[in-house]
Amino acid sequence: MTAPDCPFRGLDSLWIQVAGLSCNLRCAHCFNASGPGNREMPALSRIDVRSLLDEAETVGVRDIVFTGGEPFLHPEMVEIAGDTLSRFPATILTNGTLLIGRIVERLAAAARDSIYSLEVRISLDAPTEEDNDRIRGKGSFERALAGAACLAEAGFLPIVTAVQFRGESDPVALEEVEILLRSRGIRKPRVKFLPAFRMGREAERSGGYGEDDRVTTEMLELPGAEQLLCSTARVATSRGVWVCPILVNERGGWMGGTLSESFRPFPLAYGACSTCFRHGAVCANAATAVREE
Amino acid sequence: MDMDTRHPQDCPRSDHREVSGRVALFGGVYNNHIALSALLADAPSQASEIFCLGDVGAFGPHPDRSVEILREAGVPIVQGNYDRSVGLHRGDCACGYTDPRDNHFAALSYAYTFRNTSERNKDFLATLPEEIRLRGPKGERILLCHGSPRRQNEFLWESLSPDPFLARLLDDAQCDVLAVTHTGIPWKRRLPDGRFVVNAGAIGRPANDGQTHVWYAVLDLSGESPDAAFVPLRFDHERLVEEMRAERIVEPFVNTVESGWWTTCLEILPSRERARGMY
Repeated sequence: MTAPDCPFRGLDSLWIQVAGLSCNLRCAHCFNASGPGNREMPALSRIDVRSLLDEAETVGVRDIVFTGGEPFLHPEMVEIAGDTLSRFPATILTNGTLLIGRIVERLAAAARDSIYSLEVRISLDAPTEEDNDRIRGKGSFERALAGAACLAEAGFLPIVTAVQFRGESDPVALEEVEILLRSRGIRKPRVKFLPAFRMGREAERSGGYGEDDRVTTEMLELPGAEQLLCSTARVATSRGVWVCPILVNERGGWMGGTLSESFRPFPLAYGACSTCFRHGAVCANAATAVREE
Repeated sequence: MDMDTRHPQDCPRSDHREVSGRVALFGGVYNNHIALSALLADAPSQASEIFCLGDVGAFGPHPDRSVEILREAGVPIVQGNYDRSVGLHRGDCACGYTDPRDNHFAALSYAYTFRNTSERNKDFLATLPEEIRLRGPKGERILLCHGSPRRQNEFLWESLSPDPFLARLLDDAQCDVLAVTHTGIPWKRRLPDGRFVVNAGAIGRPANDGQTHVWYAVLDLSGESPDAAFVPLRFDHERLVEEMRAERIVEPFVNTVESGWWTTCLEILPSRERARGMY
């Protein structure tokens, strides 16, 4: 069966893998197998990012999303955020564990100087230390919450993202996380659930995707198909441009050496595409609506 | 959800109605017939023409009243996602919310509006145009639409609409002035090349600013370059609260009218807009 093409509708969101795949945590479910000492994809320099922003301006991008690895391992992440916010809204995806006083203060100053929103998304995978640290590593629960609290104190409204292993859109789970965040002084908790992608280290854990876990041509006819990130986003890395953050490092996810080369349809040939299709807007900042079966 | 790519070049330029001076723009009536009547009394003193940017229905009471008022006044209306859904008998409002709780409240108000809109008015809403094109005194190509030129339910928030992105939308839609609504919070931007974007806000509910009045926009085409002023519109919000309660409309919606703070549909807000509100 030939995989159906996801049309490219123009670049709304430019993702930048600013810190490569280097991370200070080694989460059990990491889909791109980021971790300490992962040198597979080097970080981008501040100058690299500036030239990407120039290109983004030319094609009329709506927002910039920084990911990794862990973006705050990049020594110039705050300066890069400032460069970006003078021109675009931005989002930083972080594990939150490195968000301590001075960095957060400087980040808040950059955000205040801009008319655009800076969103900070912090990953937390369970509302209890025991469950979270089993997945994300010992000590990560407290450190991430401390980072979120520090952000809130500086005037940010961090979005906490949690990978859901049980059911999706579970209102009880949502409330659990909100109660936890409120107890740490976060007055307007924002929570987003993410599906688990059965790839990277998560494939070893859950067995990966079956052959039937694919997007079909018929599915692409359904309303909402335009929410697929690959129709309006690309990921720039030190190893070229990839179709989406999930398929970075997958041979078929590579779209070209430059942004303009990557502006073409993408065949939805991966199991992960079916997860993305079913959940819609997986990578957007707003919470996810799960497609009814 | 619609992702129709419209082709403005299909519309012959000679058809575009000419406007000049000041033009009143409002959107998001949300069944607030009291504010709508207040607007129709106020706007003629501010502007020579009035246009509605869509979403006649939503969380307020007695949907037919607002439709009838607009029809009687002969105000040109751009179709909003709500109007399209009600008109085409769709299952939901297609507001574009993604949070399950936001969708819960959106579903309640949609069911109420759908149930209480006459078939005649549904047919009327179904026939509304998705965009209106005008021509300004200096030949400015003016586009009125609901969400964005490319999608009826796209949210154009101030803090999520950088200049290069707006320039792309205006290029693609071939216009120099763009007017939208859908988000419920007014803002405006002049692009470095002089082109202009205005979000007129909504007259149906307060702008999450702790005030009980609502806002509309007056586009000013008389100056060197287009500009807009936002006009606060006071209306009898206590009467609206009474009517909403009598119609058993859920309390969170009533609270917003009473307090001026949004209590629902918050998850779609970018951080800057969310930070300004109470919740």
